[in-house]
Amino acid sequence: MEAILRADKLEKTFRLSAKQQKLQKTKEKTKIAVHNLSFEAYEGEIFGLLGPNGAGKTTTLRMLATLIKADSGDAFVDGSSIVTQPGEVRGKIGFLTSELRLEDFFTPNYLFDFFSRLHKIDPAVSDKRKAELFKKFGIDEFAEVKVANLSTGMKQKSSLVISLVHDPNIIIFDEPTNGLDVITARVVTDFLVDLKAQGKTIIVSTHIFSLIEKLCDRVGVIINGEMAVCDSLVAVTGEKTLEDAFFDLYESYAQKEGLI
Amino acid sequence: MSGILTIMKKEFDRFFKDKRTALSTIFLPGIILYAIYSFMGTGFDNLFSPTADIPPTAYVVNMPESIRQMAEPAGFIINDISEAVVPELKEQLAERELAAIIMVFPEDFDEHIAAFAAGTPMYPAPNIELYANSLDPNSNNARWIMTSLLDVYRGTLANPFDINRDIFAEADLATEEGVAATVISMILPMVLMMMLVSGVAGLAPESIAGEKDRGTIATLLVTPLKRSHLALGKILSLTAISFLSGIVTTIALILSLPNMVGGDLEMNLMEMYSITDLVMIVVVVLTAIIFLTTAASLISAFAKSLKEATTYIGPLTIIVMILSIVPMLINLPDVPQLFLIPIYSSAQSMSGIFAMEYEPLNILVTVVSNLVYSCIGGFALTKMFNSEKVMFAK
Repeated sequence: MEAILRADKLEKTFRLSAKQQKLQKTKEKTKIAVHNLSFEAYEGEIFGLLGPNGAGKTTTLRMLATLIKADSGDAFVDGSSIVTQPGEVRGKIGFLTSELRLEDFFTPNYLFDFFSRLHKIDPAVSDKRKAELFKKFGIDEFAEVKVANLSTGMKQKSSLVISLVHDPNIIIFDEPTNGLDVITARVVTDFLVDLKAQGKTIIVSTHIFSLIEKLCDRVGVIINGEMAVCDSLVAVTGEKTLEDAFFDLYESYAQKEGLI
Repeated sequence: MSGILTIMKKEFDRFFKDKRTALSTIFLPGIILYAIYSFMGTGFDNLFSPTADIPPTAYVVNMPESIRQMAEPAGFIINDISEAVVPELKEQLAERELAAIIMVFPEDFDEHIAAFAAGTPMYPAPNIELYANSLDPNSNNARWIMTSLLDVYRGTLANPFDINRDIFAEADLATEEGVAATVISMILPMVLMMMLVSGVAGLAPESIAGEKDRGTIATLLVTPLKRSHLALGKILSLTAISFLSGIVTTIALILSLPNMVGGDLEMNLMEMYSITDLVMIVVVVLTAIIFLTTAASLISAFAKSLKEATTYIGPLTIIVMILSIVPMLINLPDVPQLFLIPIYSSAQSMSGIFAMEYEPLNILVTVVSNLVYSCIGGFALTKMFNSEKVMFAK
């Protein structure tokens, strides 16, 4: 299989404010969020980034989506560098996180058209895609309701659909089921499987073991900004459950770092 | 290009489809301005003009025939009274219960005049007491007419020379248009700049800091849209909206000026100003708005939240107000260097064009410097949209 996305020694440090230094009981002025992180995602697979809160999953995905810049290292999305060709990368990926919101004032219908134009999609293609996606997620009934008046679930589904206006081959999802009710979460996970069946590559980050077990072909475990292991799900878990495998990894990492 | 247009279209939709905001932003400043100025004008008018259907009235003691014959043709109603009631009438006049004047002549007034005419004046000269209440427009008006009549009468008795005999009305060679132009040039630039900055201050924080605050700008930043196109799209759409509001404000201001100065000002702008003048005004106003919008956009992008942005915009508004009042207060030399100062340059240029006295070079410096500053600002805004520190700082 061919790697369609390759992260190469990504590095990101954040400056800590005086207040944060106090809270974290450290004199260091910076915090390493992501350190020497490399991994590959293959075409047509679902790749999971697993890690506790604050491990650096979101930071990694934001670097891949070119929302923030890597301090060093690079990543290649279908051949385009996030460092030198961020514009091209943005055209190739669909990125969805809870931080990206839709303007309350507009309707899903309007926003779908607006983002289609930003992606320079032919109107006829965009209309067809809109009809399909709106129907699939049940947005069609709410297409002319302002985002402000949509339910949380419907807002989330609209965001999801709008992040895919350009039918990207690579889809990056930060915590795809966070804050969703069980039914909507199910719709989303089913959709991810669907996308995979269409040959799309999907990268998800989560701290939910069951989600990884259910969806992912391969998994990368991030602990404290570093890639602890990255392999197929079977290779990572072996005979154990993912949860046990994760805690084994976590303990050995902690011992190595002298945390325990 | 298409990115800029897409952003502009969205900004326009956001603005114009919200009818309440759109109408209030575009028309409200103009309407308020028109109402205030007309009200002020009418108010002053009422304060100082006599009531038209009440003729000037005088209560007189010992009025000589010679003066009565002049006063009655001038429309005066003369009521003869005895000297005893004068104190009572004066009290009524003070209380504004009497809209008239009171005059007390010496008994031997005509004898004095006759002696004076014969070349043997008797001293001291006779004295006329004239009481009026300047707070009462009718009383005040009667006083003005009466003193003018007395002046004329005095002039006919001993007249070494006349000033402007028979041509009094035509003696002021200032044209009505000149007067109108001066009034416009003094008031309009200042008020217009203030209205524009308050419009921009209302729009930019919402459009940039607001989107940042609500996380909707990040959604734009993950699309292939160029940052420079986002910056330009925002600046141009905000400029267009402010310009629209500026036009309405200008029209309202010009319509309200005659009311403000008391209805005496005849104005026909199309006759007063050439097309070149009007085009220059539009260009100056437009580039001034682009400058203001860019400045407000930079502040809004820099601010971490909508609240912070509106806080920072306050001082900008004050600076703009101070700089645009300067041309009205101080007569600075007309050197091109001074026209490199933004805001001041625009206000001064507008003032110059409206007064029909300006150096074309200075207008050019104003327009070019406004555009250059805006380009630098637009470039900085693009950099800011590209900076995660600015866009995602909390």
